[in-house]
Amino acid sequence: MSVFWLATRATGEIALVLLTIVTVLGIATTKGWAHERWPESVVTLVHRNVSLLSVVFLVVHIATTVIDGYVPISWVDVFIPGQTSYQTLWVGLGTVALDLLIAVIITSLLRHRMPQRAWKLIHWTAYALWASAIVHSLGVGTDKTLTRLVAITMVTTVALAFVARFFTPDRSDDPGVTLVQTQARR
Amino acid sequence: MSGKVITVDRIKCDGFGTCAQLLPERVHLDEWGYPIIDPTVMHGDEGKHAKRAVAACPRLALSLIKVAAR
Amino acid sequence: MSALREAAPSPALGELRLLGEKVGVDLTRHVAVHETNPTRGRSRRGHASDLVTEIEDAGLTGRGGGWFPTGRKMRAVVGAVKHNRKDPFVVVNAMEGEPAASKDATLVQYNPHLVLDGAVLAAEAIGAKSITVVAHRGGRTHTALARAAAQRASAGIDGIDISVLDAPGRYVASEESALAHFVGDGIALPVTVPPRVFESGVRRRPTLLSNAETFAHIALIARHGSQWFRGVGDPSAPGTLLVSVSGAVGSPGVIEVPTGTTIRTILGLAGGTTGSVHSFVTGGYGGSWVAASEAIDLPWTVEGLRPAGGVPGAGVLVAVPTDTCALVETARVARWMAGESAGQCGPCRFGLASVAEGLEHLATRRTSSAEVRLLEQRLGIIPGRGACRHPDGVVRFAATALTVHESEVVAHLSGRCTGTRRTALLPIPSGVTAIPVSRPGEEWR
Repeated sequence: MSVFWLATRATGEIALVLLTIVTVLGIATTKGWAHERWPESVVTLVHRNVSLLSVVFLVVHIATTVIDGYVPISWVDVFIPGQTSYQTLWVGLGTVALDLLIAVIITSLLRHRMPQRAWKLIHWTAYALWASAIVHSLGVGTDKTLTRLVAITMVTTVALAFVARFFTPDRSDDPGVTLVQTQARR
Repeated sequence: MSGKVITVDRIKCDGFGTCAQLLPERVHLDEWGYPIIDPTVMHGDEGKHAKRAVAACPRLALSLIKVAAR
Repeated sequence: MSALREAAPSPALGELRLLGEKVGVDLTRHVAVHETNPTRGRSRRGHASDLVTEIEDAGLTGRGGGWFPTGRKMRAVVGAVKHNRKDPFVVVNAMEGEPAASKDATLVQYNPHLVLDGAVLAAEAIGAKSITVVAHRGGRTHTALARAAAQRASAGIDGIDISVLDAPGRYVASEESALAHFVGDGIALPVTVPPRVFESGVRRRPTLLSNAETFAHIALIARHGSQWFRGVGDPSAPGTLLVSVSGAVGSPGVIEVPTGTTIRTILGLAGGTTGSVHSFVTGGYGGSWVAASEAIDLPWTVEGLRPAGGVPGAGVLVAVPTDTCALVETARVARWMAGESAGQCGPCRFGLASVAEGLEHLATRRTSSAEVRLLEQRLGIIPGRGACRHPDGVVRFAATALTVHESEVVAHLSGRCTGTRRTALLPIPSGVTAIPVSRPGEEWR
């Protein structure tokens, strides 16, 4: 078993975990969930940084797959879904996830220079990209036990956060000050 | 000599307080969590910190505007 | 709401320009009394003049509360049209959101066609293809203007469409950006400025939005010229204006006076004060309280009332008798105004509610000096931190109440109240006080 093949599966699972964390932190950011040691500014900055970290792991995951050559995936297949003969659907979903992630990240870096409505629309596809990644991991993964365990944990986490997002009050309805107010006031 | 000033869109602002956490020298929060911003012009390094604070707003309510300073 | 009757004309102050003859919703009679609406290209008494220049020369200022030079506003719209290459809009604000005001309602009952004449002339001058008049839903003003517009449409006299809309009766719905928002997108919520309405208003097009009375003056200036307009009133802001006088006066109602008329004279025209009057409310519920002794001989202009901290606003003057507890009245108004917040901005939505609560505790003598200090501190940090000037107005109303009635505050702190009046003085629209929510719903459409 080549080191690339090990690396691609490991980095794939890690990227999935990181993307899940990003999704939950994204929900936390928009709801203003915060704590004395994790004020709102930290939540939003960690959300951003973990998303960039997940890109790093994704790049390794993709590169090792292509370089390894065990499965016939070319650089073109990385960006355009549905081109591979090998597991067309499952690999394709990974490609879709990557494409959406690229769009989300580029638009977020250019957030201040683009219409807010367009940014928001593209950012909402983050849920779709995460879901694609989950299904991709289940379909493509050869160590089924591990991928199913990870997938169930990740799906449960995001589902909980998703429900909490829509069934709890918004930050704008809460006239209280963040617990970090003493720092801010000084 | 020019500098920068922070402006806030009061309708977009939802009182998260990220700005006050990242730029406490310029932004204070009232008792309801909404920003009171020092309107004086910022120069040099302070503009850098202000840029980060503006970028971190979850509602994109802040803007950094170049002004001709006095 | 206390009944405000139209006052009988007073010959002592000269011509009544707006309230001289009650023409009503009658196009034929209007033309007979005021002559045909002069159109662009046709000169006034042989002098060809661009209407915008004429209005600038006349020095007309907005009668909706802003007192902004109308000519300058029209010039700005023209400039924005050249810059953006978009057709402008004309919006007539006949909303009259101030509960203590009824001047626009009276003007529309007297001379609705003067208002519409002015709108048509202004539209032609700035190149607008449509005019929208907005008034409160279910009110007589809306009915009268709609009928007047229909009369003009069937007579085919204008060549421009005039649509008359009815907007929800919320206080801030009559705010400039809210009204433009309503005309363009159907929601009467204030939006962030800049950009101001003159450059980006209805559907982000340059919009000339002015008060109904302002347009009526435009119609008269087009007929009689800028020098005629400057013939009466204060040179800094000439002409006549309508004032809604209420409270402890003999004949509460709407009167027309030259700008710069003293409060004493205005009260006299409204039947004089009935009993001892300690203070006035000037400008409306977003205006200010003034001590009667300080303000009684001040002229009714922005600069004139300033020494006593008064503001003319949209021509509102309430004479508050000594038997009325001003703190109780202020608390009632503040609570209502807090409920009228659009709820879009935290300092307004939460701040005004806390101010109202503080005032209520003070009014009911269940407060402490610490709480009053907290109230004053809050009043200090709210202004300027909303998208519109609604919170600023309420804060000014409350702050001036506390200053002018300092002795009453002291009395209330020791559990006493000098007011003996048992009925409410300042009118507050009936209905449930709205609790502002962050996502306003159908009530704003």
